[in-house]
Amino acid sequence: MNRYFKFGLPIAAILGTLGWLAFSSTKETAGYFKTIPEVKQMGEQARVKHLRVNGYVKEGSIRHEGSTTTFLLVENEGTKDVGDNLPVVYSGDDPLPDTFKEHAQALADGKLGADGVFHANQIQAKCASKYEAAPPPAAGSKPSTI
Amino acid sequence: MENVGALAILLAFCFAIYAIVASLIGKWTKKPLLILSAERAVYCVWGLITTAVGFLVYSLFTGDYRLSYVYETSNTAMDPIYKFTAWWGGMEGSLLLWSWLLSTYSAVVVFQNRKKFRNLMPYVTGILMSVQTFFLTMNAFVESPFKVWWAGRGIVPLSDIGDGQGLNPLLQYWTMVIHPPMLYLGYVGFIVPFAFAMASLATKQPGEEWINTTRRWTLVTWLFQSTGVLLGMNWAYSILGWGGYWEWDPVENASLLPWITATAFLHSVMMQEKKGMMKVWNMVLVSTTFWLCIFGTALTRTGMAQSVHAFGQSPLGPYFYTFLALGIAGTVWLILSRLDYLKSEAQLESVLSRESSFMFNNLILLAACFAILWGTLFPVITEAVTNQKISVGIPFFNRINVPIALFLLLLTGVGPLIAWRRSSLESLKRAFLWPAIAGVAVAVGLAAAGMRQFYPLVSFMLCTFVLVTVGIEFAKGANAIRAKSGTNLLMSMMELTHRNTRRYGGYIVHIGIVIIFTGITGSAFKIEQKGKELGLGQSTQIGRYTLKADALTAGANSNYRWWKLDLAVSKDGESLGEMHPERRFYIAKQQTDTEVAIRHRLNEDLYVNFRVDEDNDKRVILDSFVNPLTTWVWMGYWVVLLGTLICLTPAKTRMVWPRMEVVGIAGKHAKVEE
Repeated sequence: MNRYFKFGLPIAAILGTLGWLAFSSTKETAGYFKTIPEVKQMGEQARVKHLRVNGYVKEGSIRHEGSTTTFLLVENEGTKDVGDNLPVVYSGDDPLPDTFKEHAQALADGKLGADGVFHANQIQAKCASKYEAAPPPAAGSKPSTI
Repeated sequence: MENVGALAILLAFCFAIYAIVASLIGKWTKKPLLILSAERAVYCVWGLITTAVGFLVYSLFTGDYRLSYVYETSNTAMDPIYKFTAWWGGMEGSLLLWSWLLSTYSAVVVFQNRKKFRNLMPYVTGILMSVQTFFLTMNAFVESPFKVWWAGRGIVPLSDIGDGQGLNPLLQYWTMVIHPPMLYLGYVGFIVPFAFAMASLATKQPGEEWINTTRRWTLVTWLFQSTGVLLGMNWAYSILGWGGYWEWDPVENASLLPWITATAFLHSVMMQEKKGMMKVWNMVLVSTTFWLCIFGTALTRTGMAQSVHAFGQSPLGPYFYTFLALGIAGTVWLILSRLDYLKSEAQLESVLSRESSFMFNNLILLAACFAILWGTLFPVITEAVTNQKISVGIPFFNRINVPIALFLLLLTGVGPLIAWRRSSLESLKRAFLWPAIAGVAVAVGLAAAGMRQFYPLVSFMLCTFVLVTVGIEFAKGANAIRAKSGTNLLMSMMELTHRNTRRYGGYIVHIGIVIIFTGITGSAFKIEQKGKELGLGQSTQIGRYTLKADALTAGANSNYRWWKLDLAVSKDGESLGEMHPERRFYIAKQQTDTEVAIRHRLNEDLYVNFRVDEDNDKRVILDSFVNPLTTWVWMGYWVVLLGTLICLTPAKTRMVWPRMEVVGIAGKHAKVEE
């Protein structure tokens, strides 16, 4: 029994500490992935919780004013049927990624303000699939599968 | 052309299946000729995949944009070297690289062991080719690199096919040329120890034959993994322009996970070799490492985790998950059914012993691995459990892994010097008094100099501690040799290392790791200034540096348009010359990209990056960083490389370890050759 105790104690101490660290930092750094309609349905909750909203940057909606950037995040890619939208204001320290532009898929990290505008402190963006899988020039319609 | 390539892949697929069936049936029905034919089939698989690769690379060079893959990853204006690396610049090609490396390894293994391990080899071949079949299924039926773009779209006139889109600009950089092959060499290579381990389980081998034969493989693949991870960090640092090299992105984590378990494996095999302990554990580790390699490959390709680096969504998911589930289930079943053959020959006796330090090393490495895996998969787990996708941030990873890393650092110093079986406090004091004093002295000195952060102080203290312990080890051994032979200290050290390459090579690897840790600790003192608007002729201050925007020049070539900033740099009023960060706009991909300017120095890097408005070229937006000790991370790598190479060199004297207290199955090293 003694041997198990001798090894069990330090092991339990190590795992316990790490478990506690994991638990506490999970709670503190948790960000909730939401779609735009989900954010709108959350009500009050959306202002307290740290959210990560996924969507596409609406064509022609990007405005730079000083170090602040505002744009509309929409549900669907393209120009028609873009679905629900969410105004986003970004004034973080980090420069916006090179991939951030119209039609790009973007992930905004932050909280919803009382004004209904989403205040992002981080933006991640990926090139729209349009650029990844565009058809050869003048070759007709957009390919559905490549 | 594309038909021949696709046919080659299809044939390779058939040959791989043949190799599995023939080697297993040959084994069970005891038909050596059938087994031999299976091994020949392995060479054929290699030849066929190489042919397919040849066709793909040829198409990339000649710009055959009829092929979707070539169209998406290559363009005419691109540098030839990047036309070649476009081979692994996209999903389909990178899977083909996987397949090709696997077939190369398989061919080498089969050739090396054509006269040895006759009863293991059919299983080894079977396992290698099963994995090969899986990847060839992807190459042939799911993500074919030879898909013609217009397939199924009617007739498109040849003249309508323009130039390709080119390789992602972020990938047009030298470390990206070698990073993927290195990482894949490490990922794929772990299949060899895994296959031998499983084969030895399947044939109920009682001994450690599989560990001895695959030790070099393990070390070499570990080295490739380390190189791959480090190159990835270097790439992130030099290209992404945010001033650092690691941000716990799922893809970065995917590359780190198997490295961690491989490191644990490298350490715990010593327990089995020398004491006959931890046999089950080693099986578990080698399997975990291998399946984490496959998992990492899946993570970056199936869109499972959100990441900036990951390839896009793909239909690969279900295939990979099925393969992983079946493979892991099979491995677990095999290990469980052979537990009787894996009994430990000795027991842990004391907390203060080499054995227990190995155990803690393993425990803590696995804890790190689990924590990183947990953090990476947290969105997936929470979505499955609560239907709500929740992610954890960078602080999560740092908070857990910093204490783990520090504890590991401590073990790096303590482990190698502590006695086997049990150690007395008295002998510990003798071994660690001076290293401990040196460590504390450094910490006190730094604190007196004004350093107040807790973790960096502990880190520098432990780094010193480890360096001094290793230094004393070298000095002691070398002095003994010098006293006998009368050569100088340096020669005696080389002689010492040569006598026991594994031990002293290992120490050198530890020194390298300490240097890397020192570099990482330096990042705690980073200074950053982001989004500073600077008109031409204006200047800004960061740390002790003054940066003045002198001129902005613009130009273009056929691949990209560029803007180059002339930035005059001075430190404490003394001029240091100019730095030239560059901004590029790749025309084919319609994407901007940065060539960061970095002034590398031993004590700190000055790192500058900028953006520019195309309408207003009298003004730039500057991001600047002072990164203390970052160069040490890259320096440490070279030391790790040197140490590993030394470990791989045969020692002058062959070491034999007498086993103590043999219990359990007595017949160790019982060769069951047919």
